[in-house]
Amino acid sequence: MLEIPREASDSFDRIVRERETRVMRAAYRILGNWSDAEDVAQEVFLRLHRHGSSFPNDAAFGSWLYRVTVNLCLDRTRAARPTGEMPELRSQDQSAEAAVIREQEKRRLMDALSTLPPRERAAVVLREIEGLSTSEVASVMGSAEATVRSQVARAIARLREVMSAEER
Amino acid sequence: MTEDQIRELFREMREEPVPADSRARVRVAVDERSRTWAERLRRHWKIAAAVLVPAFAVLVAMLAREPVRVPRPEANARPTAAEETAALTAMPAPEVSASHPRLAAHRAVRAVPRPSAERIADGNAAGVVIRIETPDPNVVILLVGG
Repeated sequence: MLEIPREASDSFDRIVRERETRVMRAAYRILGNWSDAEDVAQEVFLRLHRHGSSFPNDAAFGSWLYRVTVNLCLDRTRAARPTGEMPELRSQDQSAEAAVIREQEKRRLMDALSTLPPRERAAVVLREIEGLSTSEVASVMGSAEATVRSQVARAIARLREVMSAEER
Repeated sequence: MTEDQIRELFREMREEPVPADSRARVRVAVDERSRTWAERLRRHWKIAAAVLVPAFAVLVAMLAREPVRVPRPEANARPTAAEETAALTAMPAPEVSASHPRLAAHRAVRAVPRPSAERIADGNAAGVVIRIETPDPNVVILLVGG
C-alpha cells in the first residue's frame, strides 16, 4: 500500500522528486515543448496532493500518474491550435558527427510525432518511449488493449512514412 | 527508415535527461502551490520570526509610550515687581573706573533689567517702582517705595 500524504511534507517532496522525470518526459514527448510540460507536471503533482489517497501498489500509482499526465496533455492539445512550429529538442553535448546526425534524426522523429493525432501520439509515447506494457497503456488511456495495439501500429507506420518521405 | 530504427530512436529518447532548470521550476511551483500559508510559516519560521518579532516589539513600544511633558523653564517665568525690586536693591553699586568713569557707569546702568510700564502698573506689586528717564540715556532714576 502506497500512502500519499495530504499535507505538504518531506515525504510528498520525495515522491515528487522520484516521479517528476517520468511525468515531465512523457508530457514533453506528447506536447513537444518543455514549457507546457512543466505546466502539466505541476498540475499532475498538485492533483496528487489534493487526491492524497493511497494506492494498492507502486504500479497502480504509476498508472494513475501517467493517466493524469496524458489526460492533461490531451486537454492541452485540444485547446491549442496547431502552430506548425518545430518542437524543441535539447541536444546533448556531443561533438562527434554521428551524434549530431543522431540528434537530427531524433528531431525529425519528434517532428513526425507531432503530426500524429493526440491519442495515437500519447499511446506511442507511453508504449515506445516510456516503455509501458500494452495493458498498462490501455489502463492509462482507458482503452482496450486491442485499441492500443492498433493505435501504436498505426502510429509507427505513419512515422515511418513521414521519415522515409523526408529522406527521399 | 525501418520500424526497428524508429523504435531504437525512441529507446534512446527514454534515456534523455529532463533539464535540471525545468525540474527545479516544477518543484518550486508545486511546493508553493501545495502549502497553505500556515504550512509555509512553519517551514520558514526562522525568517518569519526574524521579521515579526522586531515589528511586534516596535508596535508594543509605540503603544506603551506616553507623551513627554516638558516642564516650562523657570527662567521664562515673568518676575514679579517685588522680585525685580529685590534684585535691584541687592545689586551692588557699580564701581566706576578711574580711567573711564563715564564708560563704566554706562555699563553698570545698561546691565540693570528694565521693568516694563505694564509691570510697574501691575496692581499686585509688593513695592512701587517709578522709573524716570532723563535726557541722558545713561541716567535713569528709579524710585522704589515699600
